[in-house]
Amino acid sequence: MIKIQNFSFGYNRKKMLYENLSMSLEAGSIYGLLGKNGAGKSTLLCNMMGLLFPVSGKIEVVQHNPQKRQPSFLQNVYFIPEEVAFPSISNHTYLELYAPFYPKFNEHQFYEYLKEFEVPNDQKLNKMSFGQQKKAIIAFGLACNTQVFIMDEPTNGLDIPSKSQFRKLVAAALTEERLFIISTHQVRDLDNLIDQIIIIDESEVLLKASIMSINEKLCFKTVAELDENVLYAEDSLKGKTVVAVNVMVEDSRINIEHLFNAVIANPKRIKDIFKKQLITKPLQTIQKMNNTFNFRRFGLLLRKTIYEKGLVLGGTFILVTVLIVLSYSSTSQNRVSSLPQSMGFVIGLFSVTAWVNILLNNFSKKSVAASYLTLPCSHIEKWLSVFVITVFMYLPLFLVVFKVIDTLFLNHYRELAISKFHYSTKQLETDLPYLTYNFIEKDNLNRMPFGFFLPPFFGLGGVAVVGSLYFNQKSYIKTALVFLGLAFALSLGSDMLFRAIIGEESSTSILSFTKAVITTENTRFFTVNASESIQQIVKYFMMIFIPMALWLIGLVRFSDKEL
Amino acid sequence: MDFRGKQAIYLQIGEYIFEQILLKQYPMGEKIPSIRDLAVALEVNPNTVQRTYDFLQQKEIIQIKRGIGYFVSNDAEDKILLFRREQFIETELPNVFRNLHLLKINFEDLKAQYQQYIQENFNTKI
Repeated sequence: MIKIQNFSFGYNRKKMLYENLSMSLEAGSIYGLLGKNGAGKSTLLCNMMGLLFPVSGKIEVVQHNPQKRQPSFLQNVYFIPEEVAFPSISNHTYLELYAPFYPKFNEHQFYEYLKEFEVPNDQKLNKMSFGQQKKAIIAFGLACNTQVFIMDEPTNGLDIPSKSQFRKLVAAALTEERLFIISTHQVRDLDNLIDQIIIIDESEVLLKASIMSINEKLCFKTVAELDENVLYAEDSLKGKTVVAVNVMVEDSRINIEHLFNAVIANPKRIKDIFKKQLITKPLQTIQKMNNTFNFRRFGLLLRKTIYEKGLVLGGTFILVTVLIVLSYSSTSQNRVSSLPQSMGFVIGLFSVTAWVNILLNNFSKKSVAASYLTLPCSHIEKWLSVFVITVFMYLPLFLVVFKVIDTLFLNHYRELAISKFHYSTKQLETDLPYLTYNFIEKDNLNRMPFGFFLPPFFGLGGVAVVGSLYFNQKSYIKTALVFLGLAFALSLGSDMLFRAIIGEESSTSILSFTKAVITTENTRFFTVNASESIQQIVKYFMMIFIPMALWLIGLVRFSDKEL
Repeated sequence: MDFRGKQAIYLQIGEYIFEQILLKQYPMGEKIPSIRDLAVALEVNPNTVQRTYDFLQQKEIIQIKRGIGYFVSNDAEDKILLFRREQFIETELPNVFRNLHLLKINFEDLKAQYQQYIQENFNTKI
């Protein structure tokens, strides 16, 4: 069910964590992945889940390449990271929003498990204690009935009765078609639950064997004197507790802690005793179905996103409205221009970056990122959900609100001018044109056939998408710096180009790529415009190509994003 | 259940089932818990219980009826006694003999003591 071939992985290329690892895990077992802290347990699990990508080699999980994170793969595997992060919703809402993504989800089981674990039903999930959250996510994961169920340190944070409940639930959930992997360094919690043991240390699999074969090949006993069969010994009250080669064919109880120490102490001998099984079966072809776009899944994703982030998005929008109003309130100081209007409009356009960042802030925390990346949706669906929410929700909302504010303010000022200062309507038009100049109006839009706000809107949104996806927490500052650098380089470049062509005296105005201002000794300055066609090209480049490219980079980034 | 013994877990589960049969908790000829149920109750891996049941089947203490479940054999008690006797003679008796020899205990004295013990505790004469 899980096949790993010549797998290599390292966080940087010089220091590899795993090299040339091969193993295969079969359904119907509970695998215990044991290793010291930092041995690479979580890394291996993340690679199986497609949250990290192997440097070389192949991993195949339920006949899929995890790296592609296809929905048909994701809905058949469930991963519980060590730290869990929940949105601010109740059990019931969580089920409503997330369960539909998993075709084999069983609602009855979910509530049954929650009851067993004594997880309260009336509390918001993110307000619960760490242990309660962990139990809730375990209950949910078990109820998903996925073929592969991976848990990273599941018993961390569980109290004593919950650990017992956990063992009961996992024992009950194991079927011949399912595969469980539990990583832990607290072996006592899971002693009798696991039936296959994988021990990793120093980036190597030192042991991968079933309890049965360990029973056959090793024995665990207390002896008075050590002999050459002993692999590991520990002093105890009655003599020496040892792990020894099972020459007498004794049936002894496995002490996993002692086994672990024995394996770490004698990796070579252990390897000889448990000769590695080689994978002979060829990798199966990966099935492809319904993995690009599915309307129902997309709808579920939109619903989930809006439900979880709606409040923050709404709050941010209200703040933006306040900013626009504030900008208008400075009208009294700016009698001669429509500056407050433009400022308000620009604030509104810019604020799309805030929305995009909220929609994609999943990557600032590993646990949230893991849950977002393993949500059974295709990359296109996740990307499109951001696009749709910004373009079809933010933009109309902003335009409507802006129009309302604009109309209200202008009407108010016009009335003031007429009633207090006795302007006639005609005088208004000539003396105070800005009061009759509605910002979003037909002629205004007609004058700029492009829809002058759309390209910057998409551009800003795209910048935020790329920023959020590439730079995690520090997105804003880093992206800002990168783009500032780019823009600066461009304008500097065009400036230098003009200087090279025309001579030292010329200079271009910043960020104008089609116009040069030339200063000579005779005339103070005159401007030179590039030809119409070049102006058109630059315009299309800036207004269409760049925003589109940014969004497309975002889409590509979705597919190669690692944890 | 707390698995303290030195034996492999699947054998300890076997012992647990022997106890249940001898205490008539699992009456002869009747159905015993399914693998899954017992695994959940004991918090162990179902595959371990499977191994116990295979082992008990091999010793003819339980029988499988396809599609229904596992049942206690009609002569389970005899089989258990037989198995335990074997086990006792194989694993525990050597230790007893070793101690008798080390502590220089007379075998004949022991016989009288044994009979007295049986009389006091079980009220039967041998």
